[in-house]
Amino acid sequence: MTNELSRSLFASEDAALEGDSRQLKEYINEYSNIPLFEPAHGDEVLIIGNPYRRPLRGNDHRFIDFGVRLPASELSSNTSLAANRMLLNIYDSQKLGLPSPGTGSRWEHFGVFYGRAARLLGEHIRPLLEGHVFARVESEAEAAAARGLDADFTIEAVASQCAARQQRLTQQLLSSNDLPRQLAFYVLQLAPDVLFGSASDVGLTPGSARRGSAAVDGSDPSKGTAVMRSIRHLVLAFEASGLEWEAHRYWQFYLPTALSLRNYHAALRQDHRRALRLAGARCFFEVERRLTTEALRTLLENVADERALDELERLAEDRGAEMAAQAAARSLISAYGRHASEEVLTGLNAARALWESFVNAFSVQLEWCDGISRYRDIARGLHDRMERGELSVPVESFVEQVTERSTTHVHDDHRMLVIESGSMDFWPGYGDALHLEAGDVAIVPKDMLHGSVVTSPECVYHQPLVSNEMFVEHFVTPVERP
Amino acid sequence: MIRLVVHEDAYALGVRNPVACLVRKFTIVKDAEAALNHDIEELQGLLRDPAHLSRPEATGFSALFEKMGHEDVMPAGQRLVESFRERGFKPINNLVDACNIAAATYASGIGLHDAEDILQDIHVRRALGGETITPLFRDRAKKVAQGDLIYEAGGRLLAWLGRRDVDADGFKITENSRYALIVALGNANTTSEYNRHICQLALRMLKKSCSGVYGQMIPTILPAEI
Repeated sequence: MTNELSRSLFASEDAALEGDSRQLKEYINEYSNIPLFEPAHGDEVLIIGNPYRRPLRGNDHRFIDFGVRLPASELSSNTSLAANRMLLNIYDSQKLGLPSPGTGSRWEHFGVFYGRAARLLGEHIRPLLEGHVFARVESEAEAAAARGLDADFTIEAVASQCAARQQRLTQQLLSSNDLPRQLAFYVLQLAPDVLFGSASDVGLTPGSARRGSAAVDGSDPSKGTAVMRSIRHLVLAFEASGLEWEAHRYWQFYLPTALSLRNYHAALRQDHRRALRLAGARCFFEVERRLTTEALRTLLENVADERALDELERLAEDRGAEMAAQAAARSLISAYGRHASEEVLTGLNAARALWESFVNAFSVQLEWCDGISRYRDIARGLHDRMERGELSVPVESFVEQVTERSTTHVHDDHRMLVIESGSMDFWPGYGDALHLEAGDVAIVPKDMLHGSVVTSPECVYHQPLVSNEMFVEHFVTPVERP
Repeated sequence: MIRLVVHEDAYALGVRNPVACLVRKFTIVKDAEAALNHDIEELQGLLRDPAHLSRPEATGFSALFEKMGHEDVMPAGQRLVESFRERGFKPINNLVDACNIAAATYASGIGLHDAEDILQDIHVRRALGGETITPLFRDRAKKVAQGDLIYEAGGRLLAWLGRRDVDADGFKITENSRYALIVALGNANTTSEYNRHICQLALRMLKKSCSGVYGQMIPTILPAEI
C-alpha cells in the first residue's frame, strides 16, 4: 500500500510539475537573480558578517534540468549542489534570523531574504528541487524497506555498518598531510542546517541570523534547549578547529552531499505525508550524531582542551535522544503496523544512503585535496603528452577578467586546468588557495568542489576534458582501481 | 555544459577546428566606437596589405564553399574586408563592432547570436533539405538548400551558410541581449588556436566598453569523439 500511495502521489505531482516545467525554470532563474544570491564576488571566498548572502551560480541553472531525479551516486554533481544550495536557502527562510546589532544595512538584506519574491519563488520551486535531490533516493529506500526487515534489527545493523565506515573516514583524516585544514573542512560540513536562525523563540534573539540557536548561550548546555544540546558537539568542534560559528561564512565550501544530508531532514518536515519517514530518518540522524561525536572526540584529541574533550565524551555516551527516537518509531510501528514499518524504514534507509554519499564524497575530496601535489605532477606529465600531440581531447577555454570569482562548483567530468596567461588563486577545498600562473597545470577530478578568483588583469585558461579511462589510467593507483 | 558538435559531413567540408564562445557580463552600448578608434585605425592599416586575403586561412573559406558547390560565392570574411576597404568601418554597437574587428583582422566569417535560448549542444552539419530558417529581420521562414552548411541548437537553426549567409532572426542580438554566442567555424586551413584567437580578440575589444566581460569557449567535439 505504501508504495502504491507514494507512486500515485509522485505521479500526480509529476503531471502538475511537467505542465509547469517552463514556468518553474523561469522561477528558478528569477530566484537565482535575487541580488543576495548572485555569484560570489572577488572578495567572497568566505562570506563574513552577512548571514543572508548566499551566492548561487545562476548561469549554470539555465542549463540544468531539475526535473531529472538524481540517484544517490549523482548527489555529488553540480546539479545537486545547485539544487541543495537553493533548498538550504528556502528552508532557512522558514526560520527567523535577526541581524546582528550594529549592522544597520543588514536590515535591507533581511527584508530581501524574507521578502515576497524570495519566499514565493522559493515555495514554488521547492517541490521540484526536492524531487530532483530526494525522490530517487527515497524510491530506492522504499524498495529496500519493502523487503520487510524488522525495524530494530535494521537500526542496529545500520548503526554498526555506519560505525565502521565512520571509523575509516576518521582514520583517513588522522593520516592527512594537513590535519588542521582537513579537520576544519570536515567539521564545517556537519552544520549547514543549524547555523542560521531558529524555528523557535530563539529566533527573536539579536544576532540569531548569524549564530542560530547558539546565539542564546552555547557555553552552558545545561541551561540550553534541546536544540542547543543537540548541536553542542558541533559548537565545540567549530571552536576547537578554529572555525567561526557564523552562518554562512563557509557557504562556498559545503559539499553537495553534505547539503543533501542536512536538507533531507527539512524536506521531510515540509510534507506531512512523510511523517513516518521523518520518524525513521530521525533514528538515523541520532545514530549519526553519536558516531560523529565519537569521531570528533578522537579527531580533536590534540587540539581541543580537556574540558571540551570531556564534554564530547559525555555527549557521545548520552544515548537519550537516540533511544527516544527509536522508541517513537517503535510506537508508530506498533500502532500502524506494516505500513508504518515500511515508511519508517524508508526514512531510515534514505537518510543512511545520503550519509554514505556524503562520507564517500568527502573521503574522495579529501584524497584529492591532500594529494594535490601528486595530482599536479601527474597532470603535468599528461599535459606534456597533449602538447606533443600524443593525446587529443576536447578542451573548454575561458577568458576572465581581474577579480572574476568562480563561485565554488563541481564538474561532471575530469578536467585539467592549464593557465595560458595571467594568474588565479585556486581553492581545492577549504583553506589557503593555490596560486597558479601561466604555464601551471592542475587536475580537477569529477565531482570535486573547487573555486577560483582571477588575480591578474586577464586570465586565459584551458580545461582539457579527461575521459574516465584516461583518468583511471593516469591518476588512480592500481590498488584504488574499481 | 554544452558542446559544439561537428558532424562527419561538415568535417569533410573543412570544418575541422571550429570554436564557439559564450559571452556574458556585457551590456549592449550604441555609439561605443570611440573606445575602439585606435583599433579601427590599426585594422584599416592591416587591411591595406593586399596579401591579407591571400593567406591560406583566408582562402580556405572559398575552398569550403566550392566543396558545397558554390564556386562563385564570396565568403563572409572576404566580403567584410572588402566592405571596410571600400566604405570604411561602419559602427553598430559595441558587441557587433568587436566581432567585426575580430572577423576582419582574421579575414574570417564568424557568427554572432543571442544565446539566451541556447541551452543545448550546438550541432554543425550539412542540411538534409527539410530545414527552415527565418532570416534576420524577416518574418517568413526560408527552406534551406540540401547540402548547405548549418548549425543548430535544440532543433532550431542558428545559421545557414550557402549561396548566401543567413542568420536566424530568433537569435539576433538586440539592445537587451545579456548572453551572446560567437561562432568561428573556420576552414581546413585554420587551427583551433586561430579560431580561438578570433574570439579572444572580440572579447578584448568588448572589454573596452564592458570591463568584466566573460568568455567561455565550449568544448568542440569532432566526429571521432561523438
